[in-house]
Amino acid sequence: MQYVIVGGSIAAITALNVIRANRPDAKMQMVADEAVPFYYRALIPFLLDKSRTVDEILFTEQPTDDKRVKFHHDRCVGVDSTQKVIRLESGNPLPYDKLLLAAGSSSVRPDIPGVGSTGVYTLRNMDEALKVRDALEGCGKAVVVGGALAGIKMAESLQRTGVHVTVVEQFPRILPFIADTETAQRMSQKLGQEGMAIHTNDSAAEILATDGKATGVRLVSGKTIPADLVLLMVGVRPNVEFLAGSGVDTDLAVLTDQEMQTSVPDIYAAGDMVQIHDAVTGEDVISGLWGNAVHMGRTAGFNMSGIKAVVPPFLSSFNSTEIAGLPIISAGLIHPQSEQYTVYTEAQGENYRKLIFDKDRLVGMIFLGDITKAGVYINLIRNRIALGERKDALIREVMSVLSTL
Amino acid sequence: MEVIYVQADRCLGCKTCEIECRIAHTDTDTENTLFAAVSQLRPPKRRLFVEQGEKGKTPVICRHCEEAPCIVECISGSIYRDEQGFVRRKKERCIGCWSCIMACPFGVVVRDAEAHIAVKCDHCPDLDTPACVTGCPTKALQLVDVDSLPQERRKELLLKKEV
Ligand SMILES: Cc1cc2nc3c(=O)[nH]c(=O)nc-3n(C[C@H](O)[C@H](O)[C@H](O)COP(=O)(O)OP(=O)(O)OC[C@H]3O[C@@H](n4cnc5c(N)ncnc54)[C@H](O)[C@@H]3O)c2cc1C
Repeated sequence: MQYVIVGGSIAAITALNVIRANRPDAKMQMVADEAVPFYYRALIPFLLDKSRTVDEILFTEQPTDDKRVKFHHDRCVGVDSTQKVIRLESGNPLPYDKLLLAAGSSSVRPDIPGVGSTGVYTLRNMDEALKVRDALEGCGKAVVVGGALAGIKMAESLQRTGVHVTVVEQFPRILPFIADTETAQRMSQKLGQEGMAIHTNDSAAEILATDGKATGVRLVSGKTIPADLVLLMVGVRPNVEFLAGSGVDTDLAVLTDQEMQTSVPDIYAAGDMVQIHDAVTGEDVISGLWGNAVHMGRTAGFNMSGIKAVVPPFLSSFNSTEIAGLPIISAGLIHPQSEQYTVYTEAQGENYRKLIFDKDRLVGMIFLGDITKAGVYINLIRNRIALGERKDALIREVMSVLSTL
Repeated sequence: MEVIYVQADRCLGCKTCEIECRIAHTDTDTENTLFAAVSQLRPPKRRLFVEQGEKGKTPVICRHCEEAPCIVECISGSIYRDEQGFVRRKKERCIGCWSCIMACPFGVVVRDAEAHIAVKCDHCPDLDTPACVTGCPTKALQLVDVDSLPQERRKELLLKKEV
């Protein structure tokens, strides 16, 4: 059995490990356009301020340690599902019996004047991170365009190197997908105290440059912010272009069933290039989360090995991080838009908690500061547990923690 | 595989297990004692929790789940399964993103704010029997071999999703 896997990140590696464990006879080929060794993507902000070395963010076990895995440092440019081959940029066709698509997503590069100037970067992979790390030598001011989680993480890391950082966010608040207005305000204030400048309700209109080198950013509001370095962290889009003509159905991203099979038999997909159905909001969205990529990779790996498996219920909003020394965990429906939902909040010093209910079901939550036992409550959200009479006790339990701190 | 089995009806809520846990996880060059634990600049965190259950006090402890959500969500390669099958954390790999706390449905991974790392039960790898089990005066905590238990009891002990 010839297994071919496109992509070399967490979804790909998880699937590969499952296949290796379950099919001793398997021949596995991996195609990835980033060179080995493979690394933990979410840790690249730590390369910028050198708080982690490249070695310290690598997977401890590399898939290529297994001699049954043949690695191609190449890019997949097409899939021919009738002939069962994929086309590579280097020209060679690669035949498969079972194919996994795990090509993730790429940074969006906004189409604004000056975006091609030196000193302007998108930042999602190791290569880009190392370039930015080098560019930081002698850099005094930086602008990060995009104040969502990845943008803020990068901004904090730049700031730790002594660079003066300005963040520009088009929404009225930073961290629009993981925070409500209250939490975002608290975070902005903490970041501000650490010297970060934050402009919300604004976005980049033009990159200013002299002799092709970036000197600043002009915002839609008309403000101009000087900068030696500009990071564009405005979002990602799934890498689906190479699937044109393959017969693999896509909508916002690749469509799969619960077993991670695409519309084409023997072709599976996993990770950030896949569209998921959110168990709580009922919306179809692009995944974008590490844990979801692991679940999808594992499920695809089992089914590709001939062992039936289905994915668990997914949440598209399910985040945990620490920003400016304040931990935040949020999950589910955190921006309730209708009267149908009841919201409970409690604050104590730096700590803040919010619970969102749909009748007796917990559907969303935010814990800021004290994050004790967050997973217990998220489990109720994910599995849509009807709490009945236990609801009031649960609210008391969650909120009373703050008064005893 | 031997796991810690909790018999809630035997628990008196004395918290000896919590104290023994802290002592066992004290970072000293000398013998681990209660005195050494409390005289630490940063006293060790407990890794199990005596809580009010439905019928009374009960110790809540990591189950070293077969499909451990904390391993799934760990974005830094810090949480892993050791050769004995226990779910552990590599200190130096932890970045303090708290994804494991977000993931754990039992609420038994905690934040060490000073050290900026997540802390969880490691099943005391250097001891024959975990400290909490040895210390429990009422045998509410016992070490049992899961493989010798019937299937239903196994499922209760280990969070096992159908694959
Ligand atoms: C700074 C940062 C912080 C993050 N923090 C978190 C977090 O705290 N929590 C969380 O849940 N998630 C986080 N994420 C998101 C998380 O990293 C992703 O969800 C995860 O990496 C998705 O994995 P994947 O395997 O689907 O794809 P990716 O990691 O995107 O990898 C896809 C790989 O495929 C390669 N590829 C693409 N096209 C081709 C092709 N045609 N041929 C060959 N190879 C190709 C790419 O170069 C890449 O190496 C973060 C991401 C970033 C960048």
